[in-house]
Amino acid sequence: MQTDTEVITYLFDHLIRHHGLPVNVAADVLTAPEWDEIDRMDKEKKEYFTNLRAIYNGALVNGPFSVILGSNKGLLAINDRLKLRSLTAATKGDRAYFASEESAIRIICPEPEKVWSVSGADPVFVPLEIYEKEDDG
Amino acid sequence: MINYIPRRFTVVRDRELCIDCGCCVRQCSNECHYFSDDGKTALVKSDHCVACHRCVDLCPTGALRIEKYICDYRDNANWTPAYQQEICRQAATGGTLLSAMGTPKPYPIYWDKILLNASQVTNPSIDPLREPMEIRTILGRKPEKLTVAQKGKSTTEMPPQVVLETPIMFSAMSFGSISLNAQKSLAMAAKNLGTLFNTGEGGLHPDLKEYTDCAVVQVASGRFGVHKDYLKNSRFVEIKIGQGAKPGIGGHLPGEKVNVEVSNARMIPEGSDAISPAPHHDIYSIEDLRQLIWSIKQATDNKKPVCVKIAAVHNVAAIASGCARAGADIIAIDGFRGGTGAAPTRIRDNVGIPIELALATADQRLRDEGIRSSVSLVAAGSFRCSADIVKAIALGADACYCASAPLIAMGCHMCQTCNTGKCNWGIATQRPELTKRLNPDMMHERVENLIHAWNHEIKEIMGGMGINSIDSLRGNRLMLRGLGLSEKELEILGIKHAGE
Ligand code: SF4
Ligand code: SF4
Ligand code: SF4
Repeated sequence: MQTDTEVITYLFDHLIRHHGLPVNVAADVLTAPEWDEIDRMDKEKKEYFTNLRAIYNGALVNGPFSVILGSNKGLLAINDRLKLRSLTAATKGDRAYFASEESAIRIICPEPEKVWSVSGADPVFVPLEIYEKEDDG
Repeated sequence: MINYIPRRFTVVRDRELCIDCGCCVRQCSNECHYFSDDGKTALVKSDHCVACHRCVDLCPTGALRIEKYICDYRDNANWTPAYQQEICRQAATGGTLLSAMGTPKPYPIYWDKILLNASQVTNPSIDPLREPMEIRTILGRKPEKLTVAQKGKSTTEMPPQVVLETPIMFSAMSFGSISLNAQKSLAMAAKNLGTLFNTGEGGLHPDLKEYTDCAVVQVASGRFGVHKDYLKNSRFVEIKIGQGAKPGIGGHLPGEKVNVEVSNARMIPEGSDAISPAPHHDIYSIEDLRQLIWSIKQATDNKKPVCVKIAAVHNVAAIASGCARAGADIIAIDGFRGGTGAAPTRIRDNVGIPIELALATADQRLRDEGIRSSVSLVAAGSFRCSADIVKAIALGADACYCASAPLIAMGCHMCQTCNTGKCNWGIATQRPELTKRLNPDMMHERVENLIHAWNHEIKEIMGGMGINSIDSLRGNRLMLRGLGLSEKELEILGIKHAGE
């Protein structure tokens, strides 16, 4: 493997396809919250993150990154834990936008309803409507 | 005299400074200092001085100094004075030579030939004072994958895990080989630091009951002090197969050291020699090891991880893999530079391999077999500073066992005569007048200071690499470069040469 992108792609493939984890759980593996934060969580969440970090300690991604992962299930956006890279999300109606700068989003969507900076330990996942429908049916 | 062996040191007393207070006379258990017949003048006979510096440290006027005593032999690169003296000793006694602490021979120390990386520009370095730096380490068997009901809810059945707040643990030192005060200092420090100490094979003294939460209890070939409560009163149980300083050799605690207290903890009669056989007499194969692991798990209601400690020997990688398959949750590998309370000199100085190579091959083997992530790997065998620890973790260790360093923090001066039981610092001795010199209430703080300092340094080094969790350092050999190593050494260590 030559690039960070390759590594992250393989990690997602490993976690989602081989280990059968939902995409938002796989995202938690890569951007797991800090122990300080985990220690303050309620019992259920604490157990979840402790197990996740214990089992997948080698899959935690360090260093600056902002990643947008597309699949037939939707769009996932993750940012590194320290927010060394920037990543901004916005929504308007049933559309979602991701870019490193808010100004970039405003060029194609001048008046988004909601704009926020994606936090390091809080992945954003936007499911595809069509997939949701399939799920409902 | 046919048996002449020059003394090692000369104790020099500056008569201008000495006030004949007698402190050195009381302090030296080797009886080097004494008073003249009229009781007025402190005198010295240096023959038995081991350079432990106790008298030097405590002399109120700074009148003492230890010098190397040199009595030249005719130069001979082959028949060095050391070999001649050892022959002399053996010719007189017919006995095996005994030594203490890790080998002093100038074997290569690979830590000193490995350099660490740091970030520049593309991956910024991180300031550990401003950003969280995580060194929490979790030992124990890990399931192959996580199962969840949904995001935020785990349905995984986790085997027992051990959470450490530092990757540094204290290695096995039994009550018997070290004093109760020394063990207690380590236990207190372990508790305050969020790490573990290890009882060695000496059983658990009742005074340490309150520290069972941070105790690793050992089951060694002598099975001293092993009973159900002993196993249950622990954080994890360690089966000791071998020790880096004396692979393939058992242990021998002479009867003189087995006082009432030691005899109670070990569950053997007072004054009797405590002999640990070389092998476990019920383990002759990996299958046998599996049985012992499972009996320990049953005896502890599956609540304690089981560690198997092996010495770093030639085929250590295959052995580590066998241990993992036999059900070990944690594998500890002890390199040949590791310390000891007493070991046959020839074994200590000639048997085994360095921890750096053993760790690298074992980690690689477990990776190749796809089982590395399910077991924990602990490295032991001489870590002298935080950089050694960082290098070990980058080579693949989850955590490191340290013993000599915390002993030095408690006063040890590496005089390498622990086997005589006369440790002037109250560490490797059971004599009450010596052990009382070591006050656990003070010493635990010095040990804690040391580990705090190392923790800070580890975080600083990690920050420099742009890494904020030790999880991302573990097995990250790209952070290492060799300097002056051969192709083969680099290949075994799995690292590139500096400049590559
Ligand atoms: S401790 Fe120092 S001052 Fe006291 S007798 Fe010894 S050398 Fe002299
Ligand atoms: S053995 Fe230690 S205490 Fe005794 S004279 Fe030598 S340095 Fe001093
Ligand atoms: S523990 Fe005591 S006897 Fe052993 S090397 Fe250290 S100072 Fe010397």
